[in-house]
Amino acid sequence: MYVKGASVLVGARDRLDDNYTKHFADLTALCRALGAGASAEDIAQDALLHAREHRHQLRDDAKLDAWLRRIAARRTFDYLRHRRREDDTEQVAAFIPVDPSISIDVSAAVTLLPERERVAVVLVYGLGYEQGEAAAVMEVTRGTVATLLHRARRHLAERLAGYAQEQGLS
Amino acid sequence: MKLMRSAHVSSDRLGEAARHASLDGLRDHERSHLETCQECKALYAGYRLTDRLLSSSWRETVLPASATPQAETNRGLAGVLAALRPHARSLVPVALAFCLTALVAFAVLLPQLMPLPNPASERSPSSAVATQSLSPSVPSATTGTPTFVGPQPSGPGAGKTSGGVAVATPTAAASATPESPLSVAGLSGWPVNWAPDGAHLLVSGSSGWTTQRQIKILNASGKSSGSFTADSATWFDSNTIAASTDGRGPGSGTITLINLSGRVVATMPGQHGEGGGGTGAVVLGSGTGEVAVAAMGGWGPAQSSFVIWDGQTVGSSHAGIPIGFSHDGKKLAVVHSSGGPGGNFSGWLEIVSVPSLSTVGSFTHTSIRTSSPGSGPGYGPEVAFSPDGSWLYVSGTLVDLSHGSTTHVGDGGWLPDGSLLTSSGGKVLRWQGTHSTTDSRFEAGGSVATSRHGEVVEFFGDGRSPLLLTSSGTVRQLTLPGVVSISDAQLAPNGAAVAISGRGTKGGVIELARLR
Repeated sequence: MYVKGASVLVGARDRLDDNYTKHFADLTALCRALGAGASAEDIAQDALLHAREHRHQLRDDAKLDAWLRRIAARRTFDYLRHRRREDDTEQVAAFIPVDPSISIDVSAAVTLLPERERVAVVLVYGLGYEQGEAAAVMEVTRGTVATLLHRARRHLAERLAGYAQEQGLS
Repeated sequence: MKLMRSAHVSSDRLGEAARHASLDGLRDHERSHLETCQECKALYAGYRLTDRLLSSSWRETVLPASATPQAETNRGLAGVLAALRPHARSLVPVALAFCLTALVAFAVLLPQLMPLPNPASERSPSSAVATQSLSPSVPSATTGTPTFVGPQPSGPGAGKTSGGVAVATPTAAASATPESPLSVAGLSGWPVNWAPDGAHLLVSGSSGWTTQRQIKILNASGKSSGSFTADSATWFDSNTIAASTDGRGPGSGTITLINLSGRVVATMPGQHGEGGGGTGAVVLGSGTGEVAVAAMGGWGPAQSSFVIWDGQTVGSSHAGIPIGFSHDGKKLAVVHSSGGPGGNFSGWLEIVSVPSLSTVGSFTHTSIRTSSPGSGPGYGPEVAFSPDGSWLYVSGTLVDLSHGSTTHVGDGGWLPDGSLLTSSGGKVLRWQGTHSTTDSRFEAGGSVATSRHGEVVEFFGDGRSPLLLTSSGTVRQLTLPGVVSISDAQLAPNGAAVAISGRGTKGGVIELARLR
């Protein structure tokens, strides 16, 4: 067991260092999508440093990507909670779908979803994660992600119903 | 008496149709409802726009803070709590000291504040605050105002226009003290179905993309006594539910009787279901111990037939589609339709006796068209016999059962005195036979629901609070926090509670208000 565990640790450390650029880009995109804005790179870097220091906690080398994303997501959520208490800026960065034929105000409806639904939508629709990957980041089951996506779609539809009908969509 | 009002196509069904960008997956009655209902049209369009939006390319952009979640959570109580959170630890001792002081002060002052018992003024605190007695001294004959007649102890029809009848005016209604209802559940807007005695109701939740759904049995306080899974359900009697469950293919559904705990107590022999391969067996409960069930293979357009099951014996088959029992369960309205199964069909009307199914009245020249709530927990066309059984209300049409003539009246329900209250053309009308008068006690633009006991709820789809007119002539305004628009209101047959379906800020909701 010891030998096997050691080889896993070495593998994880190697992959972490060898693919630093790839991981950094992936985590930065994740943090930005979750709403970290200009702090995304700092959070991603911080997450990678944390992962390197605590790499012994990773038991399965194959789950390195999910583990890193989970760390970055947690730190982003902590950052967002802190910012909501103290930040009173008039503008914030948001990761939203953009369709040239649809008003940006309509797209912004995504940001008004309940937080867990918004995160699920951002991960699956925005970043293209599989539902299982999103579930790993959110530390919930895949079924929960499916439920959150279902609710989010319904909430968006209800919120956009009036506008959609005004635009003659059917 | 319970009238099933036309409910909307469920959000899930609209979402599924929008996902496929086609209405082909909807049932006939759902499609026909969608053609006329602006709210459902809008929601369907909302789903289409949502899918288009979510499949767009995503990018980071800068938005005003007012359009983001933190702006919402910073409003109201949530904002106050968020602001206090960093100081929570230091506030805990202060809060405890405040609570302790308040408790001591309350204990000291309570004896001085308590009034001496006064039997004349004894009534519940909620009714004292929430209701407003309206002038009983305004005779309708002198004002020309139609009179609201509540249930009379002496029996149906007594005191229709007598003095001493409470009259509610719109002014009084507008000044009624708001009453907050008890919220039961935040469901997806499924219709509710009250038991005949008003002690329980069925509330259906969605179970994903399938038609089969979990149906909860709640008492009038909103407490669950049981649940079961079925495709549709109806009240067999006040303590028993008849439920149908799909089988594999046409004519293979099963019908069971379920008690208030959600346990199966009887199963109908054989298998039953739609001949057309639709949604399985269709059941219509009398509320008095019988259920009309689609006979095997009998719900095809041309050869529809049904049987009556009393829980023990299955009667012989009868042609037609059952649409509504009389209150005593002894008569049944049947449509001989040329249309398909489901909630909407037209055809000629027959009245049969129960359980013999012998013809009481046959109106081959009377064409009626029914509609039903659609995707609710039960098959229930909007059909109700008048209290004396001489008239039949069918989806906005009044049928005189003495000779089969029809009158368009609008949506509404019966009152205990035999008059019919409907909303039509933005007005609330009160019908005595085929003669109607505008009921000026109600505000314009509302819909009405009635109970067998005489209560009336007027509700609005534009955000106005619903009004309750009790059988004693008092009026309440029901405040519904979190409800943006109301799509339906169903009074318990005994008038003790009302279930209000609508859309809230976070989706469909059902609010339950105890009325006494």
